[in-house]
Amino acid sequence: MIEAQRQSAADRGPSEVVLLDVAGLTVRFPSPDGEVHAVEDVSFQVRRGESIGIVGESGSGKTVTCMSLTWLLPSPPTRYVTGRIRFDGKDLRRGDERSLRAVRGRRVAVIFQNARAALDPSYRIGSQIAEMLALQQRLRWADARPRVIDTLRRCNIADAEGVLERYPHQVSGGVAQRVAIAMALLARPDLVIADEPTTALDLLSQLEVLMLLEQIRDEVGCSIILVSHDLAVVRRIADQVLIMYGGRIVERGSTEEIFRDPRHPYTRALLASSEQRMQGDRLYELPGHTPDLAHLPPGCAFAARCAFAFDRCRTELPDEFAITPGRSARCFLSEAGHG
Amino acid sequence: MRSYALQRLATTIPILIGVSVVTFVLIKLVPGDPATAILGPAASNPTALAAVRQEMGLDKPLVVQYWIWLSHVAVGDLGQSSQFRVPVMSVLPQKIANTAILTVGSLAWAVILGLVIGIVGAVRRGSIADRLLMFLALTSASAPVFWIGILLSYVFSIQLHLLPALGMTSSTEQATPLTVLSHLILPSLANSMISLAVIARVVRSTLLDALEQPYILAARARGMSMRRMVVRHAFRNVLPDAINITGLQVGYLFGGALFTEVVFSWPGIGSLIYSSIQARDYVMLQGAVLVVSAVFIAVNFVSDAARVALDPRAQPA
Amino acid sequence: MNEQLVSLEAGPPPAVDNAARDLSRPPATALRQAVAGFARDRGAVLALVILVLIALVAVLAPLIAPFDPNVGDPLNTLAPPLTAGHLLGTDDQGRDILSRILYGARLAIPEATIPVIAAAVLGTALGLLAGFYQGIGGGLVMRVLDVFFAIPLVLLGIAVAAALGSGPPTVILSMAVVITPYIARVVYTTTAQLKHALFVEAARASGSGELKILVQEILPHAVPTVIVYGTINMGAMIVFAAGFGFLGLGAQPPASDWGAMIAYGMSNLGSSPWVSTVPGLVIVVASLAFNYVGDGLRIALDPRLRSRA
Repeated sequence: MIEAQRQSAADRGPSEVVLLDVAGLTVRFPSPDGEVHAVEDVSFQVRRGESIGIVGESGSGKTVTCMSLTWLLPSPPTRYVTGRIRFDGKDLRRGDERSLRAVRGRRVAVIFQNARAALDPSYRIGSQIAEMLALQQRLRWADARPRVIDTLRRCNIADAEGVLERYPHQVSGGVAQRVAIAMALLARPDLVIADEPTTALDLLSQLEVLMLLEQIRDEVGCSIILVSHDLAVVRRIADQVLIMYGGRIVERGSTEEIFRDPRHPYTRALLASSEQRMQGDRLYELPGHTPDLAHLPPGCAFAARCAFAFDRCRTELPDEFAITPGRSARCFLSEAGHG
Repeated sequence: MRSYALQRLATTIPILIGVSVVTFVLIKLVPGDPATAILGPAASNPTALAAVRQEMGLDKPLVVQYWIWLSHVAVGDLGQSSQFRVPVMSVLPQKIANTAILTVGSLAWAVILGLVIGIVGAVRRGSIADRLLMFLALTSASAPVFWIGILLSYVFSIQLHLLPALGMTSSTEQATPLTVLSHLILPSLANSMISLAVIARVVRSTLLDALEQPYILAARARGMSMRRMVVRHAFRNVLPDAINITGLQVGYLFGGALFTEVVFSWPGIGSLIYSSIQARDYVMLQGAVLVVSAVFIAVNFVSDAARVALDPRAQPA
Repeated sequence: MNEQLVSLEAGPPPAVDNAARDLSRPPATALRQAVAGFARDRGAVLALVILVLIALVAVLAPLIAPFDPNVGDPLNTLAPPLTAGHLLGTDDQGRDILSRILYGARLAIPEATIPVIAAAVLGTALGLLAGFYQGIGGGLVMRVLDVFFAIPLVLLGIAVAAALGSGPPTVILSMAVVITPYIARVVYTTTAQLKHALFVEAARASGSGELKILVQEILPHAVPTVIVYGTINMGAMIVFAAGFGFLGLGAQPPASDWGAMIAYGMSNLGSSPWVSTVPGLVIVVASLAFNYVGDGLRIALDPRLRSRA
């Protein structure tokens, strides 16, 4: 299987085989203000070897979506209202903890934004890596250690032996993030979910992390889901981009299409803000507030901040209108006949 | 640590003295003349009455009486019990030991069941099991200890004939540790209810907090089972608070065993105090309250010191 | 739940100040919000209804009790519950248990509430003065209270009751004596904390007298805590009062004291368990009701405490 992965990686392009199929995912939580609609009716597919980017501001539902792919969030209190998730052809059933545990980590690895917080502060880094390998691959530390050190080094961690002996709070954020990537590499997963892996880091480390992710993709041939609030970060790696707002997918398409011809007003705003940031201009800020996920409006969630909104937008929720195959936007402006 | 111990010790002495004053005053408040009680029918003789009163020091000013009493206490003479006609000090140690046995048993129940209920509640949060368990714990803690004891007695002793209902040992068999143990089960369970509920609630609450840590979610994402997460990663954070709250229970369990001892005829200090009240054996009552308070203070001191030693963040009671 | 995800995002989470309550809100609006918050908690409201019912029963007992609680029916002794005419059965003297329970409320309610109210008043006064003025007097008061803490609760109450003789007044007095130190300590802590708060300094600067500050500024902040503490304690007091009755230190027979009824039923436990069981159930319900009301009050007065269910 690893050989097959290397083969398709060498082809440098995603295969046609669907690895992950998400259909109708809806996730809600209780809160003092009412039930939060974190994710509403999200559906997408990830093919083997494909990288997709999920972009949106905080509160858009991107993180919850990713956490739900292996039903990670404890439920209760999380309420998984609907959703069917198929991984490698098999249904991932929410109640089947046994099968889920076999998939988590081993086949679907998650890289969290705050890498240090993702490790138990009471145990050394090495012992936690050992624990993971014993759990996932039944490896003994004595056997695994050389490979771990090698992987850490290849992730640009110079003092690999030293890092193993340290506690999480004793290493920098950048090192911790690289450790997280190394741990994902060690698992040799089919899918890597990276949730805002660069946000907490300085510019140099950001680039490094992105390059490391590419390295994983090329070496292991895995699929990647990269989550970010910044379109530019995603551009480098992603084949396909999903834009999320107010818990829904509002636009999707190939990276090239999105950047060349953004259809949804929100996407355009995201692009503008991204470009201005790169040019060093003052941050382009959208007027208005992020939507209150406990009290979503009946129509398009973005209408309140949209320069192009008209009456229908506020009362009716737009479908995802197809533009071309694989390309759609949840906006009446993109409805056929609108132009 | 040492400075803390010395500090506590320094405040303890005045408190003990205060307790002795309160005990003394309380007994003095009892209406009636102790001399009359001792003499019985002979009390109608004024000379005899006066003689006894003088012998008992009842004619001196209160402060002096207190001082005399205190100086006796300091050398271990707590007076003579009127119901048993032996020195109070000869009766107390055994009774205190018996109550200590009951306390240890109660603590065991409280800790074991409290941990189980707390962990199940946290791991299966919001489920029927969780809500039912917490409700049962709250209900038992809201119920009178003696009532719980009576119910347990009824179910396990009278109906099921599983466990003995009364006393610490059987009147027919030899007193072996095993018979004591079988007699210990019900009373210690009844006595443990409130502490059990407290421990369960604290364990559940701290475990829920610990399980909400980001590294727990990350561990879950790596395929770790709930069992391992709880045992190896979450429980560490629960222990300090659990030990803390358990330490706080010890003193309470010791001091509060009275009702349980009465219901189960457990021959501890609580039973003794109760029978002394019935028999109007105020000398015994005085001595018993004083000694129990002293032990209570000592037990609290030890458990506080242990808590502070194990977890520097712990607050003394 | 979202905290977990937020923590995994960049940076430390914003500090949450759990210690200080929102001191800027004037107590009046706080009260209105508290009432609204309480009303939303269905469990607490149900418990409050139960408490009101019990209080009503206590008042109306002579009117609604089917039988005289002290008069037994020798032909109908130890009748089990659901016997004709005796919903809860009879005891070994043939007295109707339901009637005795109803009359028992007339003892239980005052014995539970009066000590707490008295202790609340006295304890608050002591705590306020000791906490505000500190110094030798304050220290002395707290040392004296420490002595009372040093004696186990039950023992202290029993000892006081033994000294003063049995009966409801003694029970009430005993329990008041026992609870006062706890309330005093709680108020003391609050007062000592608030003593240096901004709004107190402001009041001082505007020329208010010390005593006035104590009553007008600090007291309103101590009151909610005392109310919550007191209400929850009333539940414990019902149980404690039953304890006195059980030991024979409460109202003497033939009075219908719930605790005494439990003790009374012990002699026939094997054959007629209901005589002891029923009064206990009533006590549990009353105690739970106080607990839920107190808990509801606690959450209503500080919504941040509405944590995990």
